[in-house]
Amino acid sequence: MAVGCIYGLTAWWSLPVGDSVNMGPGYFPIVLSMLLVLLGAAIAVRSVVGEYSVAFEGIPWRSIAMNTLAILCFASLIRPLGLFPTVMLTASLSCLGSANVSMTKAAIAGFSIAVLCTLIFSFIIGLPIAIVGPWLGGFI
Amino acid sequence: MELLTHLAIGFATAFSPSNLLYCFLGVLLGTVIGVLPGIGTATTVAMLLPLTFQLEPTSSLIMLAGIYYGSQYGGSTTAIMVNLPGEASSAVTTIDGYQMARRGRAGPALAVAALGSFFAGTVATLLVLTVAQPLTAIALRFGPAEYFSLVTVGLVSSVALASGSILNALAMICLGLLISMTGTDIYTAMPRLTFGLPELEGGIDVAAIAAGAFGIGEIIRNSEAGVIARSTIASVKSIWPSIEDLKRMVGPTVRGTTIGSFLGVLPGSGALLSSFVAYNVEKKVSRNSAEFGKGAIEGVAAPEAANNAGAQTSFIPMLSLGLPSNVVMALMIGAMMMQGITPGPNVATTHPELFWGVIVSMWIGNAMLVLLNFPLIGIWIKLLSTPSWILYPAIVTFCCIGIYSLANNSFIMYILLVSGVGGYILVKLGCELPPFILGFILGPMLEEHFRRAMSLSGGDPMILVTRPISAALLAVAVVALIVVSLPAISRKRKEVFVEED
Repeated sequence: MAVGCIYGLTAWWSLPVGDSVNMGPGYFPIVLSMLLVLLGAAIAVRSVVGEYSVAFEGIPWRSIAMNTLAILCFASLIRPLGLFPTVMLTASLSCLGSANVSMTKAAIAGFSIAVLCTLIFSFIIGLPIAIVGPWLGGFI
Repeated sequence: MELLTHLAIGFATAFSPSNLLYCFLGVLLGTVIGVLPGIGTATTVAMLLPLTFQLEPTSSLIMLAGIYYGSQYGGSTTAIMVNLPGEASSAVTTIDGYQMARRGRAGPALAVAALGSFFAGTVATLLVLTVAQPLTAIALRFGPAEYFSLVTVGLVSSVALASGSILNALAMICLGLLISMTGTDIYTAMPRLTFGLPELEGGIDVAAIAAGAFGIGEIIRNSEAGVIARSTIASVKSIWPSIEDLKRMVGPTVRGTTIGSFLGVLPGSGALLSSFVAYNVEKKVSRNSAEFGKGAIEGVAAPEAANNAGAQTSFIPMLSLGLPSNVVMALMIGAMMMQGITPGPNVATTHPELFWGVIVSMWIGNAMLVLLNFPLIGIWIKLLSTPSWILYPAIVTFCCIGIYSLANNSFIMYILLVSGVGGYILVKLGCELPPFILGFILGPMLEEHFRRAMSLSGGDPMILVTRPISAALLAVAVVALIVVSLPAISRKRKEVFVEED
């Protein structure tokens, strides 16, 4: 049922943006937005008629929340903290997203993944990311 | 004779020590990750994509190709050993493969899969070698109108082969196209659809979208209760198939290869469709059809050969026309563009070493797969028992580091996050991601050729219909769309895809 709503929203949200740009570059996006609105409407009609509905349950909120947190944490901490600590934190957070995981397990996962990633990305591939960032003394 | 010179270029490129190494690395990494249950080919390639950007173009494509068929083979191993298809295309293999494993014949099943894949790979590579060049010659005469129509055909056929609702798939294509418009306009250099964010002016990175939608999205999906129910892992006694097994696999392998080679060229998900068709054909043709579903070796050999052949021949439209026939090919086109190579018929003339090198390396890669898998089967089985609480965070972290290293800024991480959660929601809503990614990657191409065609014709859209090749291609697109909308066909499609679950 929600399919239609989501599409409608997506389409309407993109329409004004398409219009506001001048004719040349905006042409294609506008055509596409209109198509999307049409399709969105068709899907909405179909779901209202009830021919096709989607079960929307069993969403793993815990996983979504923890993984979101993990990625945000990575995004904001990678520069100041450096690779090793950030990965440890990111992996532990993401690990807590799985069901039935204790803090200890998460910490173990975080630590081992951090060791692995540092080995692979810093020593083998040689990515230009500091292993330990400026906030923590920052060598290498 | 020309073919021989090309082969020589190909062999010289593919056999250079560094390219051999990258091919090997690709196959190895692909297999390792492909073996992990719940991680499909697209996810594997999307996740490892950033790793290859540091390499020179040819090596990076060779490595990506290796990752692709490595992960496909890895998926088959999982299918046979634990009855969990790593991806849709090996779903058929679970039917007879797992039955063989339960009877203690996991070893021969794996061996037959490897040998069948190798045979199919060899034939398909030869086919790519012979067909790609003439196709390129035709494509070189294409003007913008023809290109526009060609891309339209590609997009429409991705709908035909998506398993869900057609409307949803069409909407996903539009969404993909729309999002691909983000960035700076090619003609006027005006920023558009950026919402005032300067970070979006350079466009949105394919790798970030793909890693988010497939990698992160898949992790969230797998966390849903009960998605991954672990079945017992069968034990391997002896790897070697008996003479009897070998005799029985010849026919199915040849038939599977033929089917796969043809279906792989079709846009859409060729490998998936071909393994289903091959299995069903074999079931009808085989003398042992009663054994199917109970561990028939033909039921492993045919779909495995077909999906590998399909995987190889899907390179034909990608290399010669610049048209991806599945998500992985779309990602490879994305990789080419990031390397500064414009995909299309010119690749064969401007980068012969890349074109022929990649083709020859596919054959080498297939040989490596066989060599790699016989001694390492034990290790793959160990990998299968990696608990998910350590596996998932590792994948999330890998995606993060890989994507971060592309841009070295944090903004790209938000794209990763948004596409991850967005991808999950879309799949949950019954919308499939492959049409979206295809739309996203083909978007700029579609727009560019459309606008070029319009400026050539002075704004007259009739140019698309009056040029014969273009008109024919558009007709194909329309017919394809009508055919899939017919109720009889959609019922048939439902059957095919129900079987897959």
